[in-house]
Parts: sequence; C-alpha cells; structure tokens
Amino acid sequence: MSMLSLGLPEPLFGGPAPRLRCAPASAPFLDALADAMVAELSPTRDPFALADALVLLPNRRAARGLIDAFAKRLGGAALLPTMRPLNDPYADDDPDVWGADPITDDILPPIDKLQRRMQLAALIRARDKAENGVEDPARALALADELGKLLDSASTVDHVDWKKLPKLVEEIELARHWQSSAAFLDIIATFWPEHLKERGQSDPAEHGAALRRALAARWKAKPPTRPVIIAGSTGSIATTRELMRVVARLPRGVVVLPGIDVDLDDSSWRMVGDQHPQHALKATLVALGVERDSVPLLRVEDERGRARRVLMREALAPAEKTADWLERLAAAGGKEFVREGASGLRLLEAATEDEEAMAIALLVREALEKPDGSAAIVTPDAALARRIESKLARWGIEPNVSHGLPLRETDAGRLVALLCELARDPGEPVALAALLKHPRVGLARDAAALTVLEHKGLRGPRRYDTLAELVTLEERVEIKNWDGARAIVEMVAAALKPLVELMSHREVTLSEYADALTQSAEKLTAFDVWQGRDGEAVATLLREANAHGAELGEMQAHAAPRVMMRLMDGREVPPSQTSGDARVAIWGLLEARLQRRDLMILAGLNEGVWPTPSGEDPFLSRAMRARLGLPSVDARIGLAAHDFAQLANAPNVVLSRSLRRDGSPTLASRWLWRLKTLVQGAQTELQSAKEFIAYAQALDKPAAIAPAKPPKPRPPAGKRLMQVSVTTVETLIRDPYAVYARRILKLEHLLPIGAPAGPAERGTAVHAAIEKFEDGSDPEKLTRLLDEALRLYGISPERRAAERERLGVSVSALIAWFEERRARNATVYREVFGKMDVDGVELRGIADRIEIGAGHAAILDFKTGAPPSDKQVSTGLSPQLLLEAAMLARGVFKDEARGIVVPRADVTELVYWRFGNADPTPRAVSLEDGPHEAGEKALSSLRSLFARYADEGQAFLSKPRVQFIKPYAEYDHLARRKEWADEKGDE
Amino acid sequence: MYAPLDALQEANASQGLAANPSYSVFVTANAGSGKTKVLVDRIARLLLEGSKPSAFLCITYTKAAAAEMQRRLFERLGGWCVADDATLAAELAKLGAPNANLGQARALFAQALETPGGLKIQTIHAFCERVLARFPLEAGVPPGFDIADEARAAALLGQARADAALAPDAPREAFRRFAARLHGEALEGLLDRLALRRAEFHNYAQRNQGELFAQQRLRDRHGVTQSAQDFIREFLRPWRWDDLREAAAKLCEGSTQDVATAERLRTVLACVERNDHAGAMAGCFALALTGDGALRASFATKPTQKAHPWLEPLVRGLAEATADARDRLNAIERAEDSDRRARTRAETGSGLFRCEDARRRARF
Repeated sequence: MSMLSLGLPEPLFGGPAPRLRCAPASAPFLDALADAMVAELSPTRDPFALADALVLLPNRRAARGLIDAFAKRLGGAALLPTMRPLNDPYADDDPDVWGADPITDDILPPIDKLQRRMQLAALIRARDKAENGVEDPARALALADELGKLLDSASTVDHVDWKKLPKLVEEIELARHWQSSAAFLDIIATFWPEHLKERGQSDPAEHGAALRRALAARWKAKPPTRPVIIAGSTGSIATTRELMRVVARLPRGVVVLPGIDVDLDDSSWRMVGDQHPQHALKATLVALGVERDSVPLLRVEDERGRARRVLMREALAPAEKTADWLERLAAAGGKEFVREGASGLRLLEAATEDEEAMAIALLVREALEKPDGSAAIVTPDAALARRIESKLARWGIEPNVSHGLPLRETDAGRLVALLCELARDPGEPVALAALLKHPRVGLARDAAALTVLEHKGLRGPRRYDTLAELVTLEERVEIKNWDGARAIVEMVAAALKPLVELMSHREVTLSEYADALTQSAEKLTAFDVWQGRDGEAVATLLREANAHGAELGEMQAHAAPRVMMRLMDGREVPPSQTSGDARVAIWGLLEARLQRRDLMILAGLNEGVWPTPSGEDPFLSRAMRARLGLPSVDARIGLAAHDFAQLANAPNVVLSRSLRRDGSPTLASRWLWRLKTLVQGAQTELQSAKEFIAYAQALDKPAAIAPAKPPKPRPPAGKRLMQVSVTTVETLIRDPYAVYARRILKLEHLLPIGAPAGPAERGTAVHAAIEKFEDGSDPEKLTRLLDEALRLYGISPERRAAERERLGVSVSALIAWFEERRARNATVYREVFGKMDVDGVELRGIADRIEIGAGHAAILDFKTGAPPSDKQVSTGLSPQLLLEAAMLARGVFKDEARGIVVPRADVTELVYWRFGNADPTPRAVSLEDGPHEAGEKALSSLRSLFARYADEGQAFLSKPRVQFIKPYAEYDHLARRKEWADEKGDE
Repeated sequence: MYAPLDALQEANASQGLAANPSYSVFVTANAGSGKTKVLVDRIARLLLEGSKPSAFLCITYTKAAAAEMQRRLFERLGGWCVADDATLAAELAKLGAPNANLGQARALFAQALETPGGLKIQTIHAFCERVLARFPLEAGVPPGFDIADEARAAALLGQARADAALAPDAPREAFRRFAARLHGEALEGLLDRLALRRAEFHNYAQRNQGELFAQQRLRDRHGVTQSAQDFIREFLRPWRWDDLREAAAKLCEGSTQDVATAERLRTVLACVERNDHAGAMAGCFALALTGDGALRASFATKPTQKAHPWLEPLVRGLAEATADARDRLNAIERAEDSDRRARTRAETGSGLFRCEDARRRARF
C-alpha cells in the first residue's frame, strides 16, 4: 500500500497528464475545490485568471454551492469562473465557452420528454390493439414510462445493441418465458429509432450523451488552453468518463474526483463490486487509465479524517473481505481504532418516525445555539423531510429544503384532481363539496349559502343525478333559503360545462381534455388557479398536455381523466432555491453531494428507504441486462453507498433511524448494520444521541392525564324536557344522554357527505308511498309510488332495481290485506299528528294509520325493520303504540290543515305491519291486558318517567343500562364513552 | 421433578430436527416457543451449506413477522461475523454444522445484507406485488400499479354491482332473480363474495355449464341477442336447399329410418321457406344431433347411400356444420357475460386492483 499519496497536495494543474485530483472524504468538497482554484488562479495576481476557467459540475445546485464557496473566500466582487452542469453541459451555445461553431450542428435535436412519453405510449396502444383488440391509454402510458427508464438507462453506457435481444432470449435458460418481453421491447429496438429517424429528432437521453461525446471529440482535436475542470462527478455515465479522459489530458485540464479510497488494499480493490461505494470510481479510474494511489489529494487529510475514513472503509468492505473482519480490526488497532474513527459519530434510534423527526429538530435547534453554527439533514425520505420541517417550525426555523412537493398535494394540483373526478360525474357529492371549499375557488364569502348547500344538498344520501337536478332540489324536498345555494350550483355547472360537454363525446384527445379542464379551472377560480408556484406547475402540466396530448391518439372519454392523473403523478412543485435559513438545510441525496454543514444528520437509515431498493426491471432479467451491456440495477446501490460514505466522513455526524415506520417494524440500513456489527466486534458501542429522544418525549408529555368521566348533565328546571315524541320515549329509556344532546342542547348528528341511504331513508320512503296509495288496489301503482319515493329519498338506482324485485311480495300482501280490512267498514286516518300535555311535557306523535269502526279501533304502524317483540312492548321498553293508544283515548289526533279530526276511541287492536322483507305480514300486538288498559298503564309509567326527569337532580346518563344498548351510537362520541366505558359499555 | 428437564430436552431435540434442511417439515407450536428461531436456524444451515441468499423465499402474513425474521437472521449472522474462532465453532457445532468453514460463515452476514434484489423474507402480499411488478406484461397489469384500499375496492365493487343491476339482458336478469330472494345486505354480500372469487366462480360455471345453462333454455330465452340472429342468418345462407329438398324426396323412398331423417330435413326446409331462421336452426339441431347432443352416426341407410351416393355427404355436411355452429352459438350467447368482465378489465386497466387479485394472479 503506497503512503506517497498522503503527502503534500499537488498544485491543481501541476504534474503530467492525465491530471486527476481527489478531495479527501473528510473535507467539504466544494471548499477544498475553491481553495485549490484560488491558490492556483489567484485573483490577486491576475484578476482574470479565475474568470478564464471553465468548471463542469454534476448539476446546477453544485454550481451554486461553488459560487457560495468562492464568495466566502473572495467576497462578492471577484470575477468567477464559468460553470456548467455535466448533465446538460450545452444548455446554452455561448461561443465564449464552446467556441464559434455550435456543437449541436451535427446532432439531431432532442424530442421533448413528454412528447417521448406520448409517442411511446401511442406505439404501445397500437401494438396492444393489433394483438389483443383491447388497449388502455393509462396502462400504455405506464408502460411507456418503463420504456423511457430503459432508454435513459441505456444512454448511460457505451452502447446497447437491442437487436441482440431475441437471440439472447434463445440462449438463456427458461427463455420462452422472456419472449413476450423481447417482443415488446421491439418497440425500442426497432420502432422507436425508426420513428425518431423519420421525424429527424433524437431521444432526449441519447442527446445529452451525444453532446458530451461531441464535446470530447472537439476538445481532443483542438484542446482549449484555458483551465478546464471537471469536478464532483464519480463518472458513472460512460460519456462523462469519455469527457473526463480528454479533460485530464488538456494542457490546463484537471478532473477532481470525490472521495477515492486511495490507500485501499489491492485485494479489496479487486473485489469492489456493484454495491461497494468505490464501484463507480473504480470503473472511472480504469477508463482513465490511472491507478488509484497515483491520484494526489487536493488537501491534506488530517488524522481524524483518516481514522473515520478507514473505519467507514472497513464497515463497508466487500462482502468477501468481512470473513476476516476481526483480524483486520485487531491489526488496525482494535477498540482504540474504532473509538478514534467513531469520534464525532452519534447514533439516534427513535421509536417512530415522528419521534425521530422531533429528536432531529432538537439536534438542529442545539446546533443553532452557536451563532455561526449550521446543520444539514440528509434523507431520501421526503415524508420524513417534511415532518422535520414542520417540527422545526415550532421555533420559527425555516430550513432550506431541497425536496419538492408532490403536485397532487398542492392546492392547484388538488383542484386538477377534483376536476378529473367531477369530469366523470359532475354531481359526485364528496368531490363537489371539496371543490366548493377549495381555497382557489373562493366561495368563502358565501359561507351561509355554502352551509345550506352542504347540509341540505350534499350531506346524506344523494338525492339528485345531475347538477341541473341539484339546482332544483328544493322543488322536491323541503329546504329553506335555497336561493344562495342554487346560485352556487348554477355557477359550478356553468364552469364545468366545457368539461362535461367534452366528456359527452365518445372519443377525445388528451389535448382537448387539457383544454376543457383549463377552461373549467379558470372559470371556477377566476384565474386564481395559476397563482403561486403550484399554479405555475399546473399551468406547465396543462400546457404540455395540450401541446403534445394529441400525439397519444384518440381515447374513450372516460379514460382521459385517468390519463391526466397519471401525467400529474410524479410531478413535483420544485422547492424555492433561496428560501429559508441558509444555516439549516434539508437535502435529498443528489443535493447533498459535495455540500457540507457543521452538523450532518443522516436520517431515515432503514432498509427500503436508504438505500432505496433498486426498482424491478419489468422487462429484463439481471442476466439479460448484463448481457445487453445495461448497467446493473444494483449499481444504484453502489452510488448510494458512495454518497453515504462521503456524508458519514464529515467530522460531526448523526446517523438516525426509527424502529417503526408507518406502524410497521423496520430493519436498519445495511450500512448501519455493518457499522454497528463492526463496532460490536471491537467490544464497544457507537456514541448515542439518545438524550435527544428523551428531550423529544419530554417536550409533548402532559403533566398528568385525567381520563374523562361519564357525563352527568343536570340541566336546570326550565331547560329540561319540554316536548317528547312517542318514539323518543324509547331513547329516553335507553340512552337519556342522546335525548339531552339532541332535544336540549339541540345538537343534530350530521350525516357524512354523500352517505349511502340507509334503513332510515328506506323506511321514510315506504311510509310516504303507502300514505299516498290510500288503500288502493292497483299493485302497479303502489310499486310506482314506492319507486318514486325511494328515488326521492336518495336510494341509488341499483338498490331500487333490487327493491322493485323484493317489494312485489309486500305490495301484493298489503293490497290483499287492505281488501280484507275494507270489509270492516272502518274509517281510516293516515299519518295524523297528535299532541297532549303529560305533566307539563308535550307528548307528540304521528300515527301511521288509525281505523275506527263500530265497536272497533285499531292503531297501525308500518315497520321496514324488525318490529319490537310483545315483551318489549308490554315491559314499556317500546311504548310507541301504547302511548298512541292513550292519545287516541283522549282524542288528541287532529290535523287542522287537512281538516281531519280523529274521534276519541278506546283501542281494541294494535298492529305492527312488517313491510319489505321476505315475509311481509301484519302482526297484532298480543298483551295480557287489553290494548286500551295497557295504553293507560304505559301513560302512567310515562308520567313517573317524566316526573323523574323533571327533577333537577336527575342526570341524563349515557346508556346507563348495558342490555339496552342499540346499534345507533350517534352521541357516544360526544359522551366520550370510549374514554370511560369498557367494551361491554359498563362504567 | 425431572419431567421439565426432559421436556426441554425433547423440545430442543425437535427444534434441531425441524431446523435440519434435509427434511420438509410442518411446525406448529405455541407463541414464544421458538418457531422463528427454528426458521432462522434452517436458513442459517442452508446458507452454511452454500445456498445463495437470493435463492430463499420466506413468506409470512405480517410485516412485523417478516421484519422480525430478517432482524433475527442478520443478528445471528452479524454475531458470527465478529465472534472469535472458539465461540463461532461452538455455535456452528450446536447448530448441527460442525464442519462449516469459519471464514465463510463470517462472510455470510455481508452477503445476506447485499443479496441482489434484497433478501426475500416478506409478507405474502409483498411477494405477490413483487411478482406482478416484475412481470406486468404477463400479468396484464400496468407497471407502477397501486393496490386498492378497502374503501376504493368497495367503491369499485359497488359500481360493478350497479352496472350489473342496470345492465340490459343477462346480468340484469340474474340480478333480478337473486334480488327477489335475498333481502337486506344479503344480495350485496353474495355479489361481493362472487366478485372476490370470480375466477373460481367462472371456472365452476364453465365446468358445470351443461347443468347450469342448459342449451335449450339459453336458446329459448326471450330476446335472443341480435348478434345470435345474425349468426344464424349467416349460417343458413350458403346451403343448396334445392338439392336438400331433392335429398328429402329420395329419403322418403327409403326405410323407416330414412323417412324419419326426411321428416327432420323437411322441417328445416319448411322453416327456411317461411324465413323462420330460429326454427330452421332448431330443425338443424334436431336433424344433426341425438337427444343427448351427439352427432348422429349416419344420415342414410346403406341401400339409400348406394342408390344415391351424393345424398349422404350432402346431409352430413349440413349436420356437421350444425354441430360446429352449436358451440359458436353458445359462445355468442355467453358473450353477454362480457359486460361484467369488461369492468374487471377497466379496473386493472386503471392500475388498481385488490390484494385478493394480486394473490390470485400470483398463483402459479
């Protein structure tokens, strides 16, 4: 192992070509680069020396970081070098940078990325249609995205010969299995290149590669004399390596690589594989023809930096090399070596991701106690990043965040999603309610009308099909103050018109759909939809869809919203580059490359998160990828390992993870496993940051937890029961608290928006229809009345279709029964209201049907559910009919508006009519006493019940007796039963 | 007082036996009695014998169990990795692999961590999703599909039920028949169960088609679809009816059997003349097939065949074509099912389907 390289650093452009330099892993890369450049191209000697240089960095963010590094050293007034991103080097054709004649002259212009998706998807659709006769544009788009990934992947290597694929399939075992893949990939093997050739365009990924290749060729033929530096790239892309090869040999060219493990022993170096941190660098060094130990360092590596690097190197050693881990550990210095290397490295293991976020926020908070302290959190987990961001908001810390926000989760994105839903069904209550409350729609000033619309129009079962029917809802259902609501629905209907009209076509294009959606969004929001950065992102999405959508071809209208949603998926609103406190950053892996803060927190170190699993290639096996020359799917893990190793080499690092994620137990990241195991082998432990977990827990811990007690409301006299209906009496017995909440506090239970109609609505509808039928004899008429009533009360069309089949039995049974009853010659009163005073409380009720004949009086109740048993009636638990009997005995049933007065009568018969089940029958209530006597008894029990509840000392308890609990539980939450009742409902 | 010790020894012995990878075993044991340990032991032994970590598949039913198993395995292998020679040798001996190479045993930890594509110790759901993601073309799902949650699945099922209830023709008729008999939630429950196990139902229906949908009933049902009518019209067009009329006349001169054939043929001819296509088709079936649906053996007796060699092949041609047409006609009538199936397709087309589907599709 050579120790030469660890001596003094070489000048940047000194020494023979090929000129490579390496920044030690412990040093902040961009600072080290800036130092070296300033030393070599000193502005104090020649103010133009720096400005003359051209620096190619991995991406624009790195360029901004380098500008900051220069600013720290030179102040704001220096002339800085020209910088370009390697991933898109030729974004401009500035002749000062690239020379007079544009490089692009010989390269076909690239096709737009979205255009590529559309055209690939169109090819897939055509293929599916020809082969299977069916196709789905959204599926085609998903497949097109996979093909796009494959094309992008192919552009990172020298050459992929797709033509080899069918032969490969024959060669590899189990080949038959892959034939459909091979046939499918013919799209990119044959059709796609031909398609591009016809259009005179090139694939966007291939275009970037072609540019780098052309640039390399030009510089090789005519080497520029100015300083040219490629810095920060590991060279994982073939054409970047090609460019590096040329630049390293320019008169003043140099390639600066990040974190080469220059003194890794030879046998380990030979074993470096896909998943090893040095994998990409090894390939690059081989391509450049340079030995790793002949690469000079950019800056001297200090003892601490070296100790950490060697520790991380051992922890991440090639798998074969871990066979003699213990020996190597002992040789390196055992416990002492680990302790030295791990100094400044802390481990944070939180119970949940929330606790992790809080503890990290506290770590950051502490770092900021120092006036110039700074901290960065690095994580590939965007959700964790957002969690940490919100925890930091507690102290008003606004970090600079590099994670974008998924467009679907922004205001503007949500509006598009809602419109896609409403395009399929403009009356869908949930989407409609969300639209009405959407901040960009701006209906907040109509709060009163919105409330009427929501409570009367949208909550509960849907009682309209179209928006036009919703407009006129109050003509069919009694609603007060509908005018404001009507105006809102009319406005929405007018705004949705372009979309609804388009959806009525059989076939549409995505362009047309995007256009209609744009019009509707603009009308709904008075152009507010485009506000903000999310609005801009949505504008871009719709503009692109409009421009290129036609290339996907015509599709059935109902597929268009799905395709639009698919286009929106994966789009992000980019973070604002300048916002937030510069001292605190939350970075993704790409952004964290080359950057450094005082405290580096590596968060979310769990398997499945970091490293992000290499996605499955849906078309090719690993062996086939290798034979075609495509990069291994595991190569990404090697790159991630390099990122991790670089980050973990910072002097002050916290490695953090949570033991559970989304409620499931997690596994530590493989690198953390290795590190912990290695440290364990040295009989020691990593330093823990667990005190921050204790702080996090303490932060939100209440001083004491006082569980809620059963409520015992005792309203004062005058605020107690004034009115009780005959059906409420049962509730008063079973759940007094519900009566208190509903009748005294006047709290009504709100139905969910668009809730399916339940047994209650069915019952109401059946009552209404039977009342209207008035003892008729035409079964078809009753069936029609039932159907109309069911529709009016929001029973869905398919439920009504089923009811039409079911209710037939009930309809004929009822008509036969009417026939039978007619023989009695009694007078029939239907749905008559009655009320009477019972010791100061008004008892009210509506009798479904009263029959009064000679020596005969009957009260009937139609039930669509199970009627109460005789026992329930006789014990007074279900006193409805008995109380109605007592009311009839006092002659209180009358409807003045209809001019109906039911004469006083002593009841001789009480009947429950079970309607709408498999066995519809009338059932007379059979009691020991006669019905009239039982009614009087029930009334006297009611008197004592009322007397009890008139007492100010009597509390309205929540379900005091277990055996009475009924399934309805609307007021249980208000009574906080779950906090104090056990599962049986006892206190 | 020796009994507990014996029990412990016995338990250890059976655990050791169950952990021996050369046996296929079924283990059932109480919680906390060491099932996971046995599994980890088995995997460890297989790894020691040289199996590749990527060749394992361990299926569990909960994410917690999958994570726990992986954790215990990595802990075990990690422990080996940094154990001194004596300790490791003792452990390997205890595991039943006394001859294993210590260096190889130590390297297993890192190898397992770096299993290409990840160690496959996962839930049944994760496994099925992975198979589908890996083979979207074969499975007929879009890459990057989502799994529908309960609410979404319920909504889709509700929509499918609604479509069946409101569809024209067959599904609606079936729906009505069930709706009249099943009250309350029973109908929805039945349809949901059928939808979730639609593949089994479909197979059952196909297997028992003869009984479930007797052909005659299918044809007799009111409102034969337009396409079936078209099919029959097409079927009847190309025949040389004049020659067949001549054949009927000749058959009448033959034996009783020939006369019976002639009668059947004349029924067909009569229907054709008055443009009664359905009748003609029914007549053709009667002509071509026996009572239990087999193609008749002969359409003319030997003497008649001898007298008129052209006759038998002509009638047989019609009969054989009729037998073929029977299957096609059935298929056309069954096509009414396709509305229901089209919805399934739309569901998968949108990249959304249920775990149940995933499990079913991943079955191989």
